[in-house]
Amino acid sequence: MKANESLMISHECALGRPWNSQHRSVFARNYLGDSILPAGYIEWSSSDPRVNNVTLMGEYEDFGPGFDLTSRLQGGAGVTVELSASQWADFDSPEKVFQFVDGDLGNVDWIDWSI
Amino acid sequence: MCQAPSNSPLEGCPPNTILVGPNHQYATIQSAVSSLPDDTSPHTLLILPGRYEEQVNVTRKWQVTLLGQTSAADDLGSNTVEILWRAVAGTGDNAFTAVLTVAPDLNASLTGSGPTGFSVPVDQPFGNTDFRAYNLNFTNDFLPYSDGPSLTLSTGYSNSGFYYCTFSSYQDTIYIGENASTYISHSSIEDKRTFCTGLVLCTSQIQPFSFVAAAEV
Repeated sequence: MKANESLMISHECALGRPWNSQHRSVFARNYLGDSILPAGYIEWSSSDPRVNNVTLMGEYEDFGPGFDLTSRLQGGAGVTVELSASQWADFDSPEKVFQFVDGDLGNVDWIDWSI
Repeated sequence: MCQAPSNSPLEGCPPNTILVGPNHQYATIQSAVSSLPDDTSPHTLLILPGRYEEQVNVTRKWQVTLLGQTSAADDLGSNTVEILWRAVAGTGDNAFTAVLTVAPDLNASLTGSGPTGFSVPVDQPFGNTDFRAYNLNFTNDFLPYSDGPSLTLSTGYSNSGFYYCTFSSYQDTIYIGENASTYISHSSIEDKRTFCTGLVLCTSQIQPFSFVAAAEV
């Protein structure tokens, strides 16, 4: 979504850009407005991409005018990963994402499940 | 029915609920947060409709719930509480720009610079384990365009859940820092340039469905 409907932004906002190579993120089942860059995520820069085998810049079943599958899948600097159903299954609930400080998963007692 | 407007606004609210509003004992959210005891009891703030131009810092370790008063708690567009600040990082740390910070202390909230960010001391204690916010609109309105980091939300060493909230800014709207787990559901994030920042891991969803974000060292 644009911050302001009057903004003249079209297809120029990346989903994300890795501050470091530990970046792991997934946009899942989002409506993406037309401000989103067709390529989705971008690398930090061509000389310093900050993308390695730890990095995950993923999407699963996004939709809307900001979702351009053809551009997402293009090679070159394309760093966006369209997850398979089994890949998404690793992240598809808060229990699989939120860790305690010791690294154990399942830190979710503070979530309001009634909403 | 705590959130519904009535002549006796605290009716139906949990024990330990404080009323916040213009012309009340607690006219700012921060004054009410700062009044909470340093013990394990859960506390709630019921915030009356209005514009609150302030930065809010939640350092308390135990459950804190912020409720915006509304007659339609399941409708984001009906929110009545606007929390605003205007700041950009400039030469200072991004942390100082946030409208709301949920972190135990300054070290736990600093972004730092470079790919590794701020080095939080190894003995850094954890902050709030159960922060919840409902029906609140957070805006960092420094300039109507991207001019540097302007956070609405900054979390570090804490657990926080947001329901029917909006976050509006133009750059780095939400920062999930080290050892922060942040869950945002039925909410909206509006940003011109970057949707989400975080040193390590950041999973997000933009539109009013569910958004999950977490960051670990």
